[in-house]
Amino acid sequence: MLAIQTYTVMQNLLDSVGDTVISYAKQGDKDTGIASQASPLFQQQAFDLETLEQTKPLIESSCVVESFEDTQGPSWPDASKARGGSKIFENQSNCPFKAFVTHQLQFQKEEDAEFGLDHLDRGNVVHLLLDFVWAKLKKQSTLKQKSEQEIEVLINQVIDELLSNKELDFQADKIALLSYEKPRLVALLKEWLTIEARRPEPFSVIEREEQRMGEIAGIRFKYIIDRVDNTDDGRTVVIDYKTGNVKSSDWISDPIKSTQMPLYSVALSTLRQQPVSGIAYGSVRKGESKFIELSEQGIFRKASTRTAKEEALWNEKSAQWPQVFDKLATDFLAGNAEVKPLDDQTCNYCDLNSVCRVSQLKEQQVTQLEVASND
Amino acid sequence: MISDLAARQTSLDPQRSFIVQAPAGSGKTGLLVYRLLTLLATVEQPQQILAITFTRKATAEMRERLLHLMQQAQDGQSSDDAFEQQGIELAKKVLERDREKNWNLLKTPHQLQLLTIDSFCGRLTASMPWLSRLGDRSRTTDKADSHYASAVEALLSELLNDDSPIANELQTVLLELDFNYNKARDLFSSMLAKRDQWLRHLLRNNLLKQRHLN
Repeated sequence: MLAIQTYTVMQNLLDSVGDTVISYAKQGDKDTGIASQASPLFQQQAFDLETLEQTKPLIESSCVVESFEDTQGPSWPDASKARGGSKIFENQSNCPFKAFVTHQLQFQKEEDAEFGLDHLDRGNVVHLLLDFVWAKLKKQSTLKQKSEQEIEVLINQVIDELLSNKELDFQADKIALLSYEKPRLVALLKEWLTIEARRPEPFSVIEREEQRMGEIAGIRFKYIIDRVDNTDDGRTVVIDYKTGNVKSSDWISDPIKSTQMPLYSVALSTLRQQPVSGIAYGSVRKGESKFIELSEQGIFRKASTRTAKEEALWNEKSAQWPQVFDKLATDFLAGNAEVKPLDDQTCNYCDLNSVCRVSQLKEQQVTQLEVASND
Repeated sequence: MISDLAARQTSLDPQRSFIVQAPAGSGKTGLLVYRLLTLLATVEQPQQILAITFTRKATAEMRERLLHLMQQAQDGQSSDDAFEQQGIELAKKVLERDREKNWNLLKTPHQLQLLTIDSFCGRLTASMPWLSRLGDRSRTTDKADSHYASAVEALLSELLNDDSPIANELQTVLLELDFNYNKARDLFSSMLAKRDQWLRHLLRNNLLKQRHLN
């Protein structure tokens, strides 16, 4: 039998040497909690038992560890060569290191392809449908004149248009899957157009998906604003459709958490040499569609004491934005690469944690705080 | 004195079958070990006996107790406790058999077939690779997420199969989930993890059987 042979071989080996050192891990199986024993092959041996309490590698306790702080990357010699577009500002604002690694070192996460339409596809679909809708309607008054039936016809029309259109860069499989979603899309668009019809100040859609180049402190970036509306009072607002979770507090935070809309407003004001009157997410979500906005009062909601306060906030923040973006651009170009996430959430949605080691950094800070409070 | 000693002794009779039901800590495992020892003294090979448990902890405990008794018997120890002494006596008989048949159980204890139900099933499938369609020895896992994920992907891909008997139902379910595939994935995966709770209801309604007939 094999087992007996093993025993004989081991016995022969043991017989042929003077001193024998045998070691095994003492730590028990985590599941059973029973400490492990030396193999029965050795049970007849006379042991000088010695248990080593070793949790750290020996080398670690025998050398001095130096610490070195490194928060500075190389600067950009030529600002116009900086690649990454408007995302640069968002990343720089959320965590300078993220901007450095993403745009200077060009790190990129590989996405796994999964079955079906993902959240980007879903966003694109709603986007294109609303683009088609406003290409036909053009103004709020046209929408308001239509009966419910007419609106439904229009919605079905644009969906069919999208399914046969090449603008949606989908493979045949995804188009087939999208056709099953028709009942969902009809209900969603109906819900959204009710919200548009309710806006107090009549408006026209003056721009859709216009592609432009902007420039801040030498950094050039491409931007496409989903939609620009002019109200009948001559006020301009910038709108972007969102199917995910968004909130206006992300524009107000310092640093700015979500820079996209503030950047659009700065870029458009610069281009037109006149200020815009507000920014808004068109939050298109089943059962909770609404405009999430920061604007002068009376555009998206009827004027009230509450909207008057928000108007003051809009005036204050939008006046600061040009300097804020200038500073972000300068910091980025200087190579500022400090690991300084805006908040814990920033790291939850970031996949660079193996590069920035933010968790170790946080541990250090906690230890330093403890040391400080003990002193 | 143990009040149910007679019942315990009866249950060691290897010629008969028993179901032992008793609360935790009352000595079920001990009884099983004694029964194993009784059987070991009669067989040609230790492999002829199969003991199955539900947990690896129970397996490890039984193995340890059995070997401990055999070691005590080997070292000529005895106990004042009558029940424990009985175990040592049983182990002595096993040692006699061991010498007679040249098993060397104490040195090669893995000859004892003391297995969890999972590893027993694993051995069965491994011994029939063609029938089980499994090349490598199968193992159980506590982290089944990736397997649930691939099962869910296979389910979702039925949407694109024109001949699929479930494509219509799947569309209805997904419409209810707002065609949010991530939400569907999370939901289906969490359901798979709890399939012991709902699968039997499907079986009761014969739904699965109908599908197989189609």
